[in-house]
Parts: sequence; C-alpha cells; structure tokens
Amino acid sequence: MQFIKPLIAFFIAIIIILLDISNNLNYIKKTISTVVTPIYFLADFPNEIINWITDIGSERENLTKENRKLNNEFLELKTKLQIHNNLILENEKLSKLLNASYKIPEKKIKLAKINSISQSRLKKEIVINIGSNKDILKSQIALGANGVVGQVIQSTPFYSRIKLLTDPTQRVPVKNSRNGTRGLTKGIASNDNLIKVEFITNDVDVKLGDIFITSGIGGSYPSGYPVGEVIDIIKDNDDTFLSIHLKPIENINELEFVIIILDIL
Amino acid sequence: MQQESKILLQIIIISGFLSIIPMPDAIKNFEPFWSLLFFSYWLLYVDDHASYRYALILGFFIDILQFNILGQSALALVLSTFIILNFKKSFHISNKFSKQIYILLVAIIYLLMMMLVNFINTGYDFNYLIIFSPLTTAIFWPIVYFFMKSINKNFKK
Repeated sequence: MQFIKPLIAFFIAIIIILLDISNNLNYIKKTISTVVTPIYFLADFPNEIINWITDIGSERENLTKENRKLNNEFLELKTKLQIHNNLILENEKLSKLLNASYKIPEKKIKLAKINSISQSRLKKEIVINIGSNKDILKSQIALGANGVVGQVIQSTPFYSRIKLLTDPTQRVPVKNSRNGTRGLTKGIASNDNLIKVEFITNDVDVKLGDIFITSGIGGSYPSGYPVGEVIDIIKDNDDTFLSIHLKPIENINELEFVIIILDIL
Repeated sequence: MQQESKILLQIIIISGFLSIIPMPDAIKNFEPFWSLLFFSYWLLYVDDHASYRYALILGFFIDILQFNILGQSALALVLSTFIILNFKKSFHISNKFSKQIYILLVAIIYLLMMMLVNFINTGYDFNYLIIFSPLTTAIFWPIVYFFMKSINKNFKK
C-alpha cells in the first residue's frame, strides 16, 4: 500500500514529461509562464537596483544615457550592415551566374535587453525583456552586433526565451562563406565557446579562420548571418566526416542587448 | 495546519526565487538544488502529509520557472521524497555530518533523474561541472535548516 501514492505521483510526472516532449503542453506552459512573469521581475530586481545605483552615482549621468542610446543605435546599424554586406556578396555571385538583378529585402527589427542567462543549468537560453506585445514570435532569430545569437523558442506578452546557438539541442544549417560548403551546427553542453559543425565530408576544403554563415536551408533560419569562425579541424581517415569546431561570433557574456529580426521565414 | 501551509508557501516562494535568480554561469553550475533542500526540510521537520502531491506541485512550479521539460523536477522530487520518507527515522537519530551524507545521496538521485530526462530529450551531453551540485546541496543543508528554523521559531508540531 505504501507504494501506491509514490507510484501514482511517479506516473503523473512521467505522463507530463512525455506530453511536454511531444509539444502537447505548449499552450499551458505559455499561459502559466505569463502568470508567473512578476516572479522574474522580482528575481531580476536586485540586478536592476545595482544598475540603477551605478547610473545614479555617476556624475556623467546624462552622458551615460546618451552613450547607451547611441550604442543601441550603433548596434542596430551594425546588424543592418551585416545583412547588407551578405546580400551584396550574394548579389554579386548570383549576378555573375545568372546575369540577374537582385533586390535587397528590408528587415524589420526590434531591440531587446537581455534579462537573464541560463536559468537552468541543463540548457543554454536567455530571457529578453520584450514579448508578444512587441511582435516577438516563436522562431524569430536573435542577432548580436556581429552575428547570430539564437532563436526565439517561447514568447509571452512580457518576455521571450531565446535558445542560444551553443545549446546542444540547437541545430543551425550553415555554409562556409568562402566556398559554400554546407553543414549543420550543434552546441556543446560542456563548453560555452564552441560549436560543432557536422556532416562535412573529409574531402571538402575547410581552413582555419573560415567563417560559417547561416545557409537558410530548412527554413528555420534566414540565410547570410555569421555564426562562427573555424578554430579547429580534425581529419580522421576512418571517419567519413570532418570534425570541425567553431568559435561563436557572438560572446553571449558580453552582450547586453540583442536584435530580433521580426520577419519569420 | 495553517502554520504548515504557511511554511509550505515559504518553501515554494523561496526555492522558486533562488532557482531563477540571475547568476554567472560558473556559479550556476555549482548551485545547490534549492527546491530539494527546502522540500527536504518540509518532509523531515514539518509534515509529510500529502507529500507526493506537494512534491509534484513544487516540481511543476520549478520546471515552469526554469523552463525545464515540464515534469522533470517533479519526477526528481517525487523520487527524492520517497527516499527521504524511507530514511526519515534514521535521519533524525544521525549526527550532523551523517545528515549531510543523507542529503548528498538524495541530491545524487535527484541529479540522476534530472539528467535521465535530459538524456531522453537531448542525448548524452551535459556540463560535467553539474556533478558538483549534489555536494553543494549537502554543504548548504545546515544553512537551509537553520534559516528555516529561525524564520519559523514559533512552529511546534
């Protein structure tokens, strides 16, 4: 008899886990997450106080504000420049091949502040301060000033969660910006500063320092955004594929803001 | 009973809050399992009535807050509750160090359950520093015990 209660609780937990893994509880999770939003604000409150005291203690308060505003604008412009540069390169290639004109699409973007990083030690995620009330939707992508940060995986009215490139469950289709070789990235749980690139065969030309960018294949990520730089290549003749490691272009620990691309593919 | 409910509410709020407080990654990996620590106090010193129900509720709450797979912490807490309730009598007659060993064992089982669910979902890939969490959980046990005892001085079972 003493095993009945724990067994029932055990099976309830198992059923809930299975339902969640098969994405059947997304709506319920989103609703509850919205309800508990004040707890996040409360947890982040000491951080905000520290920031506030730091700001108020400064004699150059106005300059700081101005500087922050300009930095944000600079970040936005730098991101736009990334898109622009990649499109120009793409345009040149296509023009050579097809003798065709290419129109650069306009992207709608939103600036978001990072509230917290990795609340669970088994995941690599960040929480940003804007959500569906500011048009943030699931599967939009997040950029830093230099490249891809991750993808929005949940959006509540007041905040959103972004799964980072370095999360072991995050896979991004990429290509080598030098020669177009395609692969698939995978985060490494034990290392925050490395990403693996898989499924690139042994006979392909990859060099240290090559930059991998999103390829857009599969439709989950738009193409042309920098992901990482090759820092390690291991060629094993017994293995069909190369073992390639990238250093992410964006260091999440140095970021305060991210840009969300509002267009969903 | 009203006082027990008050303590349970304290446990849910404090452990929930501590679980999501922003911390550098380096510290986060060593962080104790707060929900397990506070719920152990509840099971060992307050009340074990409807313990599995409360383990599920607290677990689901932590999973929502930490964006875990829903049920992951709940499952780990249910199993931990079962073990704690089985060694409850011997725990009370143990010395302080042995009590910490008991908590360490429960925390190891808690971690294994968390990692098992993670393994099913994402595969065998985790930050190995997480294995130190049961140790810090055991180290923090006396602090949590005295903290809970001090804020509930008037509580008499």
